[in-house]
Amino acid sequence: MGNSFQIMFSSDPFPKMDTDPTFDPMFGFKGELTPGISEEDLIAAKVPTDLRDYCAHKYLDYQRCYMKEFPFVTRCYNEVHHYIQCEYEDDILRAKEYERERRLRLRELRKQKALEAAAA
Amino acid sequence: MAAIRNCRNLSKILSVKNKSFINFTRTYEELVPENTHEFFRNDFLPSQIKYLPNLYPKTKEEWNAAAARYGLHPDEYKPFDPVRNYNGDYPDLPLISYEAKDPYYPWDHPATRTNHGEALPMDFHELLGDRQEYGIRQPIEHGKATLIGWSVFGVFLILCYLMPDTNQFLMAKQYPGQGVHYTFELK
Repeated sequence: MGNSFQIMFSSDPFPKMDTDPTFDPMFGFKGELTPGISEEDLIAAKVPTDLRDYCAHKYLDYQRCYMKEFPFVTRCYNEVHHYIQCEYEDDILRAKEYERERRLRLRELRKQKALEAAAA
Repeated sequence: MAAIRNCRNLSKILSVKNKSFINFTRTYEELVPENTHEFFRNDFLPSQIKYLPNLYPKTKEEWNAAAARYGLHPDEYKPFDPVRNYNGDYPDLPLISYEAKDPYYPWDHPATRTNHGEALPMDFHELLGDRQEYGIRQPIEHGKATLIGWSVFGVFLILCYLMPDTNQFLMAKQYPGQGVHYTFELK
């Protein structure tokens, strides 16, 4: 994975942090991510734009629970836990995406070298 | 050019020849009436006034009496500047902190290192043993210590700027509707 010292001393083509993937996303995979709630509902609930990700429905659940249970919001620990778990899994997916991008870049390099060796 | 020359002449008139057009400063005696301090002093209760310093001594007899009141020689006695810092007849004594005084001298009050009836400086409460050690030669002077502290902080900031990001590297945050996202399920 993205080890910073490996990045400092290696000549491999490491992707930059927070960049979009450059290869075909569905190459080799099938399960597409689906949002749990439509954008219209998010707009109606006035969810901030930076929270309208794939965990927005869980965020809304926990906000609703907070409204219902206030001021005894510790009763919502289940909802909060589910939301944090969802965000964690989202980050895991992003890390996997980074690793996939890195490996595909190396694969491109290997293919180029093989072509050059065949040509020589 | 002529305007600049005129301005220079104006400044000459104002400062070099020391001749001002408008006299906008007034003397302290004009601003503050003579009986002001007496007036404010009489605002206190009689039980409080007996602990206050007297008014600033004006005559030679008052000066000597004030010096005797604080147990000082009339030549040693020097009250605060009445214009800048009016403290009545209270003497402007040198600040010598607890640490700067001799620990082996038989003090009447060893906890404060003072003698009985001794006139204390105005900021004496800041010079006690658990407070400021004024007048002590430090192994590292205060200015140098400040400089060292700030330079250590500066080096820390430079290191923060130069050090690589050791967080887990991630791709961009995924939002629905902004590109194709998947769950890494194999075909």
